[in-house]
Amino acid sequence: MKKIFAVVTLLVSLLLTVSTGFAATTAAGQQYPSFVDGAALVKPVDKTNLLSNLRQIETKHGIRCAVLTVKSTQGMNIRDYAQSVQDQYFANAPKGSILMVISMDNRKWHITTDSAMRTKILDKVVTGELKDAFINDLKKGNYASAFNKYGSKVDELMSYYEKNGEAYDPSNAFSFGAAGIAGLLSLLFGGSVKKSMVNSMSNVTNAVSAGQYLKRDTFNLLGGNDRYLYTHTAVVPKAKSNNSGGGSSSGGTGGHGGGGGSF
Amino acid sequence: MADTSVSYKCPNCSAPLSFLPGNDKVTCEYCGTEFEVKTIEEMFSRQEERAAQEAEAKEAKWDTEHAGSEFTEDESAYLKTFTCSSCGAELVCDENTIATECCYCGNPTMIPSRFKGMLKPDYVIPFKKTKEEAVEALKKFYEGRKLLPDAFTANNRVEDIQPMYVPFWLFDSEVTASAVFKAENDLVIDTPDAIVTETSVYDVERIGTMKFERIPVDGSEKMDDAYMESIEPFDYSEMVPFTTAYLTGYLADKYDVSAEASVPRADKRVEHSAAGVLDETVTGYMRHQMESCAVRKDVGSVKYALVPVWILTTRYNNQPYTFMMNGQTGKFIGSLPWDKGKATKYQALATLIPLPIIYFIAKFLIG
Repeated sequence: MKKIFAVVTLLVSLLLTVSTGFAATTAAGQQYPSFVDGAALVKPVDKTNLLSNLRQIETKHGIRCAVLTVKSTQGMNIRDYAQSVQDQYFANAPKGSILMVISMDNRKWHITTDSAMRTKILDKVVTGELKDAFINDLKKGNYASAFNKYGSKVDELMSYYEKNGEAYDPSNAFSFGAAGIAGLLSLLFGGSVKKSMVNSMSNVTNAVSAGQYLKRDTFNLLGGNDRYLYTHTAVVPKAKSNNSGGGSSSGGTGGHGGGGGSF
Repeated sequence: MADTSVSYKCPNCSAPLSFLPGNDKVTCEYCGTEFEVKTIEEMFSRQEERAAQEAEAKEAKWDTEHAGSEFTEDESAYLKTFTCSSCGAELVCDENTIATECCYCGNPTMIPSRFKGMLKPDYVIPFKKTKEEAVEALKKFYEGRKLLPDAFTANNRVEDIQPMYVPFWLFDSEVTASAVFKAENDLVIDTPDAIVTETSVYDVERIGTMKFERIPVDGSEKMDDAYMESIEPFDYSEMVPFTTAYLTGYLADKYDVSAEASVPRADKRVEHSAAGVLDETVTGYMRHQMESCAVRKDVGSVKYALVPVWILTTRYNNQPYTFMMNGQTGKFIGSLPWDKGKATKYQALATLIPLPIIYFIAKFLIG
């Protein structure tokens, strides 16, 4: 009971911190800003540009596309933290919302999507193409660039959805790697078929065995000796899960989607 | 002029006698009279003796100074002439021919002088398959060969079909074989942190005796070894003691590769099979491989036999193609030409058809 109370208290205090930040930047009180730099990672001039870019994307697609940086999630799981913020401040977007949270104490990132956005930007895209768009800048500390690239990629993915009527799915996209493998294996298969057909044009072969002339009943096993020599041991360590630098899908708690990782 | 060859003629109508495939008697194809093999053999044995003496006398005259300037000594030793006892034509054949057919009158002809100084075959496997069956078998051999050039089947004419008794050595051997194997068993332990595999290694020895009967090795230099080995096996239960009567109407060669020279080919096959037999006795291990094997021949004997082979020759693009059929079992062998264009077409199809399937599987696997 004490533990639950502690978690709830922590959550409420964190939300209060975030809401204070949002409140400070929303004088009109109509809509929470799309970028809140709680960890002070972006210069003011870049912040203005970033806010402008995000707002343009939001207007263009009728969505909420936001970024939140915090110094710490106060020990709270970053996914739960991001989803709580999204439910609290970005739940009213007509066509869905997507929020990126950066926690600087443990250098973790998480992108959460609500149930509407999840059908437009798939979880595997969040931890795939979307992550790939910004992760390098994030690692290098080019935060403004990373956030702009995040916004641009969301814009691109939303445009794809609007144009095609379905979410971008990398499994539907052409894979050069798979094409290369398929080409190579097909060539080998084609070559072996040709070789087999050419070989079938002749049934002339040298006999290597005299098995059909062996009188089976004359075989007499005179002796056998099975001698143990030694034992050698091979140890193959099992792979341990490690998502550092990568991205992992967050599953679907409460209709949320997305994914996160470290940088 | 006395004959240097002997024609087996019907005592009833003087037509050429032939041993018909599938029969146990010599039959006159013209008047239908049948003769016991033994009768024919006795009837013509005297004639053969006389012919042999005459041929010997004639060969003695084969002096290089009378042989004509255009033949070298090697050539004259290789090519021999004989007189057909039926039409008197001069027949030319190589030094190993012991039975042939007159190319002018078609009379089956024996050359008894060639029997001299050579081993008499112990056995003969009589022809069972006819010329018609050989032609039919060749047609069947073409069927289903996707790469066969269209021109080959369209313009193909069998140039020559010859039934020939090919000399074979039949090797019997009793051997003692010993082999050493390296065998292994795995014990796999799955722990939370790792997979541990303990492999126990064993040294396994096996020794045994076994007997091989009638391993055939052809004794003819001009017959391709691979063809002769491909045409196996023969049904030895139908093998009969040799008499020259079986040769009437067929070509026959005497051996020009001795039994001693053929031994290595038989031994090699025995060693391979003996090792395989010992290998089968290594059980109780997850895997094993042979380290060494030695085969000692305890008893070895050899018999000399003539076996029936149909030889069919055809020509395509000025190149001869030879096919052979086991004259007893009908097993047909040969190498056909193949069309490079067709081969490329099938290769392209075999490459392109599975391409999308493999692509989607690869894409699924690599995510």
